[in-house]
Amino acid sequence: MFMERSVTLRFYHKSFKDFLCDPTRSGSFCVNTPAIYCKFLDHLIQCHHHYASSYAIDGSSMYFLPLASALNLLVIPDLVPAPGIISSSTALSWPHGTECADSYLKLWAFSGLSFRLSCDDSDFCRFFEDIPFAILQRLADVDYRKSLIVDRMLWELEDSSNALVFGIRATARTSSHTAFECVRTKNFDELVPAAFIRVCFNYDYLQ
Amino acid sequence: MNWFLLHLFEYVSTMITYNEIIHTHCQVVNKLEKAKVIRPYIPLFGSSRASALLHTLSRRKSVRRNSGLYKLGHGEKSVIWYWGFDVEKQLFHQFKTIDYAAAAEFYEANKLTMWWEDVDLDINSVPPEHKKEGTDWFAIFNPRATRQLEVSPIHTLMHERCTILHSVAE
Repeated sequence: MFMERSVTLRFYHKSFKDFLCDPTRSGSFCVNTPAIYCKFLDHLIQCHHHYASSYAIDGSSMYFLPLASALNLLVIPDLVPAPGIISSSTALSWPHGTECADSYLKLWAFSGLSFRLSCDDSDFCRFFEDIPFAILQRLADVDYRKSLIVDRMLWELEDSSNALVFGIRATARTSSHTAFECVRTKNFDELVPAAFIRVCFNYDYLQ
Repeated sequence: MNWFLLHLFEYVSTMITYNEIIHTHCQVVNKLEKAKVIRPYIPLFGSSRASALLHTLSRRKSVRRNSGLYKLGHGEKSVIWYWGFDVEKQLFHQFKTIDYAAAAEFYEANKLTMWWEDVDLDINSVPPEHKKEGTDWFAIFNPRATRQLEVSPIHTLMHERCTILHSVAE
């Protein structure tokens, strides 16, 4: 509820979205083009580094998990403010003002940014062929470890198991160091198998 | 800056089909490998049976199953990324992990059962410490969270299809 009230932008009328997405109507203002996407991706990478550098990984937290397991006490890595970072508000464009809210907003923003740099984001897949090689190479410097930890922290905080894989609804499970995700048959297109097999085995992608 | 654009992309996303997904996935993997964002991951010699098995499967091209095992990113910033799809079962699984050996072992042991515990929950299979039962109602506590609430009914509202019990934390 807090998130919806504070940071989510919504359209009041569908016609504005239609206008922005149709290049014949909005021309250079159209947001649905590869050029705009690449500009956007470039900006996301900058933002990702900005947030990632303000966090450090803390591997000293001990958690008690009430599971029937021999190893009840686990060391689980968490993100904590990097040395010199006093307030979470400074990293945010529109801080709420309290550290409690802003530290959560910052985790949420960092997670959202990082997600959009992965092939689980449907726009990333959709425009993938248009991404210049130079921008793609910059993805090698992304901090995937901190991105993984922030996802796990948010899933736990929100007690959620909803994830997206290639833009499709998926189920997530987390353990101390891992995020597992599964897309079920019912979320896939029904008409698949023949085309699926054809595409897969014409590809030589494992070499 | 530009959160507006970010949300806009969410709105214009279109639903893609299974066919396109796998097609795109293969292209993405290929190109990311060329850009050195990802590289094939080979578990250390002497690692567990489960991690060796996932590695072997990821190197094999079979008609029934395809998978990949990669290191995503560099050095201290990297994670290990496993993905696999099963043509017969029409399932896609992936995991990203910092501790590959533990993840592979957990995945091999639980890959069929770990996902749907919430959907097919059977009250009889829940251990007594995680549930509370009345004559015509029951409550189940999340076994993954420390139990902090106690529940008991204070109101009973009749509803067309079921009875709703309201309870409070004590």
